[in-house]
Amino acid sequence: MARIGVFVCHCGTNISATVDVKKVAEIAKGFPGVKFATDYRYMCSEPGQDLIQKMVKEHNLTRIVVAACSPSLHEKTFRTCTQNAGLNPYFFEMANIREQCSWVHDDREEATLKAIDIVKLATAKVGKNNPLQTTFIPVEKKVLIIGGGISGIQAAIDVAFNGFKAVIVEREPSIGGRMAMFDKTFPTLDCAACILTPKMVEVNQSDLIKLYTYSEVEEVSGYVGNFKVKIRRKARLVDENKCNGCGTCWQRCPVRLPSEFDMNLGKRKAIYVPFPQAVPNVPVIDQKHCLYINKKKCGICKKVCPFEAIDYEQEDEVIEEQFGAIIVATGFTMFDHSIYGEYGYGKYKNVTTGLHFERMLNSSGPTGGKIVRPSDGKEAKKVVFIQCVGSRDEARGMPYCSRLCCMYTAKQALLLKEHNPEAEAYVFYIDIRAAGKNYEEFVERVQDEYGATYLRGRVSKIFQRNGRLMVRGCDTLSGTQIEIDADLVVLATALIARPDAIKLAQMLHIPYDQNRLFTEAHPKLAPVETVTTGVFLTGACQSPKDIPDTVATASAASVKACGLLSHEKLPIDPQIARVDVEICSGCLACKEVCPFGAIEKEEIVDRVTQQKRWVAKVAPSLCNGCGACNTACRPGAIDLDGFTEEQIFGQIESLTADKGNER
Amino acid sequence: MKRLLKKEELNRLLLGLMKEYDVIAPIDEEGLILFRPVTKVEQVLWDYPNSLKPVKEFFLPPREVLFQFKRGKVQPANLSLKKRVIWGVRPCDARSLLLLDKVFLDSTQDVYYREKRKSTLLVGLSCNHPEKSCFCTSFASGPHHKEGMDLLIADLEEGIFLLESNSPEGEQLLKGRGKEVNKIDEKIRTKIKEKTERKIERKLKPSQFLERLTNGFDSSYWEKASRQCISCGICRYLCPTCHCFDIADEEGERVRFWDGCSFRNFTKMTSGENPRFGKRERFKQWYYHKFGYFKENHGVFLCVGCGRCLRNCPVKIDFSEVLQQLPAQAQTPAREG
Amino acid sequence: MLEQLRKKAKELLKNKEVEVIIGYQKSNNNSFTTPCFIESEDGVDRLTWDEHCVYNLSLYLKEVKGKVGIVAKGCDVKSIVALMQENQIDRDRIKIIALECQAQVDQEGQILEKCRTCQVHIPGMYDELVRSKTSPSKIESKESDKEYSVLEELEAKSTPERWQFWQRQFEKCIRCYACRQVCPLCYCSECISEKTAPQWILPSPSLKGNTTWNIVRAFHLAGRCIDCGECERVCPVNIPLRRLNKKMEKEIQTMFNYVPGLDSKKKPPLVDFRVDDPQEFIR
Ligand SMILES: Cc1cc2nc3c(=O)[nH]c(=O)nc-3n(C[C@H](O)[C@H](O)[C@H](O)COP(=O)(O)OP(=O)(O)OC[C@H]3O[C@@H](n4cnc5c(N)ncnc54)[C@H](O)[C@@H]3O)c2cc1C
Ligand code: SF4
Ligand code: SF4
Ligand code: SF4
Ligand code: SF4
Ligand code: SF4
Repeated sequence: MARIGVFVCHCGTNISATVDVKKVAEIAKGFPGVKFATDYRYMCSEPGQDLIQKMVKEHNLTRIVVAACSPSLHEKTFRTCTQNAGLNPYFFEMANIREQCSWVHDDREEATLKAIDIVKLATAKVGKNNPLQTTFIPVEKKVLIIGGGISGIQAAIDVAFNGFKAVIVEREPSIGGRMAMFDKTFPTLDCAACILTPKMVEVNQSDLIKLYTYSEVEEVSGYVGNFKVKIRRKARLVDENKCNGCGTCWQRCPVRLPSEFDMNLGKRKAIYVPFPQAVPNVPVIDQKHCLYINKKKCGICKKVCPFEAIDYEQEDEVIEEQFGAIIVATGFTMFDHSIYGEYGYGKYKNVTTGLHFERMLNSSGPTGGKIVRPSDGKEAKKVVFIQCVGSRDEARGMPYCSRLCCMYTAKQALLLKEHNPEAEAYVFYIDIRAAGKNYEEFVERVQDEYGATYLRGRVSKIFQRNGRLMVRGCDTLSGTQIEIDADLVVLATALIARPDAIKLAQMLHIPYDQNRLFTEAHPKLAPVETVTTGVFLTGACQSPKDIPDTVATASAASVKACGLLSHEKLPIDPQIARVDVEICSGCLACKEVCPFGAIEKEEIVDRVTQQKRWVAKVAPSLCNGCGACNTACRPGAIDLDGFTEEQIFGQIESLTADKGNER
Repeated sequence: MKRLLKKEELNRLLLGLMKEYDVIAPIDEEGLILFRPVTKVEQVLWDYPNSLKPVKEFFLPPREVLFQFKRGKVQPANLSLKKRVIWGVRPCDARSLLLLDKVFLDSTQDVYYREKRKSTLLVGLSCNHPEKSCFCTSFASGPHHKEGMDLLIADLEEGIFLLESNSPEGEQLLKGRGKEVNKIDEKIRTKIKEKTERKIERKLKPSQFLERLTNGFDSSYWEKASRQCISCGICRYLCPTCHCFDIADEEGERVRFWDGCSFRNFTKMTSGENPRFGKRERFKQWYYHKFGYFKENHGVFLCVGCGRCLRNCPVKIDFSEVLQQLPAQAQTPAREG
Repeated sequence: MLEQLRKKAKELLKNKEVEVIIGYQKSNNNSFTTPCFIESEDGVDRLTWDEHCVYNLSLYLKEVKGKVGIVAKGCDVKSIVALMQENQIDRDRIKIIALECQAQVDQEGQILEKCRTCQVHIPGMYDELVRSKTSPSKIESKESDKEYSVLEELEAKSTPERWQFWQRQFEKCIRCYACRQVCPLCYCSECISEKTAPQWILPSPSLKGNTTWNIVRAFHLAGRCIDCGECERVCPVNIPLRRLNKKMEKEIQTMFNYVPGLDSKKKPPLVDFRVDDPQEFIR
């Protein structure tokens, strides 16, 4: 039989002003199993903790209840104290009579009665507590980074700087992400390539960083410290070890195709690197369009390659590696504006997006840095920029603000003027949101120094008149209707989650919001963590971010990941789910509802029938102890240590058993 | 003592009983024929197929509070009972109580059972329209047997009833009622009785059971015979002689309630060990208890042939057939499924 | 149809595609049927098929090991689907001989309630399908639009009246657990009603325990019950259990647009979660 000690805290006057703590302790003495009860000014103080340890010895106590504040504040303190008193740390329960009682009531008498009940619940529970042991898992000292945009690159560099290994898995043939497409970046207008390529090279040269480009994560199992990841390395048909990037092959390849990297404004070959500074500088063969692969003709690249690097027989390879932590850096994609009738349903060639414009601005881009009309390649002089396309549009687009369209539009208007001072820039906007260091100043400069015309209002229609593109909108500030005959329209389309975001989220067991953006563990206090321990977020996959924010979150995520890796072993909270295989019927309802993917199916040999059957199995390091599985389990085969059915029942019974007698 | 009563006289007898006793009789309760306390003569069924639940429920109730407890203090159950009459009991059910007596009264007396038995008079009603599933004649009983009753009412049809006492209390009840029974009445009665007995087609040969069971304990026959069984409790609960129970504490009450060997948990031990885990073992137990162990221990079979198990089995297992088919030679599988 | 059924069964046994066939045979006194298990080719003549084949034989699938053939009506097939969804049976070891079924009757010869609105006269999943030569390619129930009409009377009652109705019903329960034992989806090796530490459901037949028992079971079948009606059929004290389950079915259908037993690839809504699930109850 448990010997329970109850310690009621005054918390200065936080509790004692509203709750009669002496009475609570006095009545607690009468609860089943309670051998000692007292009150004290500050239980969490050193003398308070000493008191507990002393009383444990004096009264041979085996269970401790502290009636004080919230467990989220001091449970750890008292658990350690309980352990120091020579007891299992889980032989302790906290009764919250502050947040849940004294702070929210003012009737002293009623509050005292409630506090008594709260203490009664805790004593009923603690009597049924089982001793729990913390277990440990070893940590694989390697970080997986999914996505090789600026966020993934920065994260890899930071992880390596801390002395740990990192692996970047990038889907495209080269790392670099969106940033590699830009000419210059706001607000400082430094050249994107100049600041990005050194980082790309650093990644390539680091001994600690491994690059898997043209690869994808296919399956993730395991848990923090020991994620097992299957990676598909798509067949490049070019041997990475032999190729030195001389470029002979792609110069000679006869197939010309629109270049995705150039937003289809330029051409690439069937064997190609997406852009000149690609890392690794190794081409891939586009199997869909290669003449040799499809028609067994041509074969030029193989013939001309001086290093015999071309290998048409190469096949996809699936490799498995273990990681201690995972950083998700998969970035964003652009909203498809073709749903908007007012912008011409994507029909007009000269209605483009910000990304198209970035490629045109880029001097190594498809137009050699000239701003042209895609329809005829003639120079564009009059350019209309429209902001908030697909952003802040709950009905048809995304409900949120994409945060950086104001800025990149301003940047693009500025660069337009720099490229051609004669050109005219018109910007339709709803609000200007330029909250960032030197951002507001930047936008001002674009208007004042560069003379871009800002029009507050919506565009109601884009149409063609006499072969010209007409933009009709209103300027709400002057209250006039405006029509501009534009050479080029640039839509600042919303930044949205990638189409396969949900698939990845499910693979990683991380939640996502209604916009398919990955959700952080806490918007303020854990912005780069996810609820799945060991999986972190960085960059635009979590929410639209500009490069400064992206880089900041990349460093933050790598600090978190390295923090995990700096441990030899990780402790696992023992308050987790446990399956009674004797009862489990293997329906796996628990597996379906577990938000953390902590349950898998396991084949066992039935003790009685000696026949094989399926049951559920909890992975201790993945289980967060949320209890979702308990409610899904019909026969009650799965229980939560620390909150067992017996404990909860004990609590309910303590309240209902002799109600009426006492009050 | 035997007397001849007309319907009205019989009704008057019943009415008289209602003044002095708690009367329990068969009624139609929303389509179910059940024995229930009655206060009006009109409620009582006369010509009815046997009740769904046997009268054992008034001696070994589905749920019985043995005592109450609160905070370490025990409050014994009140055992005293008003005198009661169970009216309209069929011969098979009356006999079942004699079998239950062997369990609850013979060596160790169960006070709860004993008190109920002591304060109850049984007025039986003979059976003129047995059902297809009945086989009482195979088990030392019959549609007009008076064994176990205080008084038997035989329906001579056309509104005339022959009442026969079988105990001093029964005789007391009969005194001064109706008229004397003459030879012709006796003859009519015998004729009706024999006619009814002939209607009972299902005939078992219990004499072979014990030996066959002894040989057949490990027979693969049981595997097959038990296949259809869904392991519910219907046959056990509705059987007038099944008497297994469980005991549990429910909110300050220690209760005893029906349990049965068809349930897996019936034999589950604290260690987790379970000697009758499999369906085949649980299915078999019913036969071995009724026709093997009970016969060995008490000299009689624990069955009265009321046919309830046959009638109510959800998958129409023919219990008598399962017994009949049990091969004389062990290990020889009989018909499939 | 019977000839065809026997032929198909014989073939399966002959080709060793199955070791046993679960089907229906005439019961001893020939007035009804009883489940049977056939292991040899000459046994197939015992197989029968008529309007007395009420049993949902999928109940036996979990306990019969090895390769097994099963004779199944449309409603029975639904439970096979549900068992697959819940990881209880391996479709590969099961051969379904599905039968077109017009209606089944009870012992009094009355058409079963569920059959009046049946939507699966021709089963939805099978390996072999046996059909009557004379029936049209699609069969619809005359009252197929009255699926939930059995609930009307109850739904018209006020909450206290409804409670009273069910209290009266649950009072009758003798806790024989036939409803559970006959239910293909109550396959748990140990039922929550058997759990003793803690004891969720009072074990004795008292109004309180009976109420918990029947409500808990209804909850456990919510979104899973495929409406074979077997529980109601076997209840010895005539508790209208089908109405309880039907109500749950209706709620699930209106909330999640899901009908159990139709698609083995779908996740039952109560063991699935999505961000856009209806959550009116929490607001
Ligand atoms: C038109 C435009 C102009 C901009 N201009 C500026 C500017 O001037 N200044 C500024 O600060 N910001 C600017 N930005 C914002 C900038 O683009 C982002 O901040 C930055 O690209 C975010 O980096 P990221 O690594 O998170 O995502 P991304 O750049 O999108 O990189 C993600 C990478 O992950 C890869 N990936 C995706 N999914 C997978 C997968 N499942 N497996 C493997 N790899 C995957 C992708 O191929 C990609 O390489 C601009 C944005 C736009 C749209
Ligand atoms: S829900 Fe319960 S019975 Fe089903 S697999 Fe999980 S633990 Fe086992
Ligand atoms: S307690 Fe929560 S996290 Fe743990 S196994 Fe159950 S559902 Fe998953
Ligand atoms: S079948 Fe009927 S009586 Fe038996 S347990 Fe179920 S509801 Fe109760
Ligand atoms: S609850 Fe009843 S109707 Fe539903 S599947 Fe089970 S037995 Fe069939
Ligand atoms: S009632 Fe619930 S726990 Fe019991 S067998 Fe049915 S589904 Fe399982």
